[in-house]
Amino acid sequence: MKKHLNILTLLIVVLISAPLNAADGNEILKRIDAKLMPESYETYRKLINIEPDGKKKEFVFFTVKKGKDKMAMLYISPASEKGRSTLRLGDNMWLYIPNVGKPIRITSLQSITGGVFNNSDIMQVEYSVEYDVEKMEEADKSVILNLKAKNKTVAYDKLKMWATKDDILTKIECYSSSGMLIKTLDFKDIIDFGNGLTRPATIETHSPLYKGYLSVMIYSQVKTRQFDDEIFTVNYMSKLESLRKL
Amino acid sequence: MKILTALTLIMSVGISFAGEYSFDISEVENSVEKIQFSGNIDLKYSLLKIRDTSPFYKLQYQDDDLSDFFSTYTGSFYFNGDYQTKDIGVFFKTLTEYYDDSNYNFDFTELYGTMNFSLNSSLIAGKKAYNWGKGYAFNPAGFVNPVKDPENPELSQAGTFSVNYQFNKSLSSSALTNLTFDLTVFPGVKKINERTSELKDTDLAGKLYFLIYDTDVEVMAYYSEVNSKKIGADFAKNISTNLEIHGEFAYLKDQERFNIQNSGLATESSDAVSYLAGIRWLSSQNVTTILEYYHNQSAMNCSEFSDYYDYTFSADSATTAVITGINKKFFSVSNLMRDYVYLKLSYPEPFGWLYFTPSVYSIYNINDESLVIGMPLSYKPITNSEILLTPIIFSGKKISEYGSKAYQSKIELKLSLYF
Repeated sequence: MKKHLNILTLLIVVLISAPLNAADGNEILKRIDAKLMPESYETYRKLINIEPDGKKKEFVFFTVKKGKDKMAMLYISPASEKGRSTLRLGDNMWLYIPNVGKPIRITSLQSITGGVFNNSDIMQVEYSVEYDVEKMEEADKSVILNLKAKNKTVAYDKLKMWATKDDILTKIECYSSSGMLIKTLDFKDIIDFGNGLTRPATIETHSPLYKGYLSVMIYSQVKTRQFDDEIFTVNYMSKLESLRKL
Repeated sequence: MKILTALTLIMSVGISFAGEYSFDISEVENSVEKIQFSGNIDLKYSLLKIRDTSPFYKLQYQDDDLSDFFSTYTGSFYFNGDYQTKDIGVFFKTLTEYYDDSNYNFDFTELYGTMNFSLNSSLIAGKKAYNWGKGYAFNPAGFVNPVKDPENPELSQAGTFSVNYQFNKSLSSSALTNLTFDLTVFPGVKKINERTSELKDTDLAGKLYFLIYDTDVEVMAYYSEVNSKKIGADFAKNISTNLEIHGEFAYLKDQERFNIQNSGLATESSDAVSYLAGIRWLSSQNVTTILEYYHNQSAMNCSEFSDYYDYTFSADSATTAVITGINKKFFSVSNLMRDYVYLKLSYPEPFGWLYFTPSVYSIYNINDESLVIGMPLSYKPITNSEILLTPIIFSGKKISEYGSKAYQSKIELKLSLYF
């Protein structure tokens, strides 16, 4: 009888603690987001695609972000791409090409730059907007969060995320709904960007689907800056350059 | 603690040189100059196989005894400049096309200024190319667009002199998140002489854009005393992580249409509709597919095309000049007939072949079952360069749109260098 009572007690504890664990995880996820990016900021980023033959293709972007899910990005180089811009508003993404003269919708799984990063990686909004924590594990020096996409418009169905105990992101594995590993993102070179923002300056990604390829994103000058909502509209995409003149 | 501070300082210094990858921020700081120039040079060589049974070939080379293969070459130099501050901007785009020293053209394809009164409100004045509609190859609701070539929809186009006022407002509603109003005025649509027009010959175009329930929706209208009046609407939406759908609809009031009757040009006006439905889909193999259906009620039917074919075929030494003039003025649009399907597939870096993107596109004329198939093969081995090889075949019955083209096929080789 006592044995049955112990099992029952254990079951109750497990059932109660599981949602609490997920709730704690969601709080940690929000703290990870906050440590990764300020609420509203501008930054310059360089994307390097390293091909299997060792050759590199580089892109430089001017990026602005507001709130949890608004991001706009202007191509600074190379010259063949200069003036292009992309916009993300929640699940919506657009690409503006000066020669075409109008924004066209793009999807999150496309890659406008080639390489391992897709549009969703390059214009990643806060993880807590797209994912819920299903399970949290604690190790000696890190926390591991298992995330599940909130809906089917999110690029990856599941993420496995590693962070330090002080909520700095170190690694993400991205999985499809079938459980296949799509890519791994390694967050490296933790740097103090000022104004209390200490975060990884480099994101390196590789994928079993792109054998031999490596893509790297380097952040520079992450500055807190306030923006009006109108900056994050399709009709402002051709005017993003003017933000650099302010 | 001192060690920690020193470590942080060392790391801070390394912002522009993080780990094994470098990012020199001065590269981009230099590019914040107010005046910026950019452009590209395109060098194109084409090999064409003639169709000597075509009336359009006959019209151009009537009495010449020529071989079966032609070649052409063109140098196109695009030079663009812009000056931007927070409040104003001046922009120009130029195109110089060079054939030989006695045959070249220079054009300002765009030349305009902008004033940003606020983040909500701005004005554009000058020669500017607008691009309305959501379609890739066709834009039935593109009332203000330059004529688009479906074989090369991303080609830079020349603008029209106009004044545009735009009001843009973001909203905090969960359903409607952005609203934009555009009013564009086109003065002098019909000229009295080179510089003067009657005031009544000013065209007006208005467009309302909504981002509603994660869908782009636009309604537009075009008012003119010279051209037909039009109203239309379009939409685009991502329905999954790899699939986008779009559509356009236009109602054209008193649309002028041209055809050949009694061995001469006939003009009539009638109301017409035009519409498009399309998708853009990314497969798990990384192949992007664009598929569109386009209908234009005011275009020719098969019988009218046959009359036009016969009329062109009838050209002789006495009538060639007149028929050439009529063809150029009234029938030089890319799509003469009513119903088309456009399909394009692109597959970047297949089988690990770096920097290489093969594509294949087809424009199928449903009415006469003729088609054009092109296969652009793009290779970008060096940053800011592209080599593009495009074989194109025009196929169809003798009396059909693509089957009667002056050329059966062509191969274009283009080298583009950007700066």
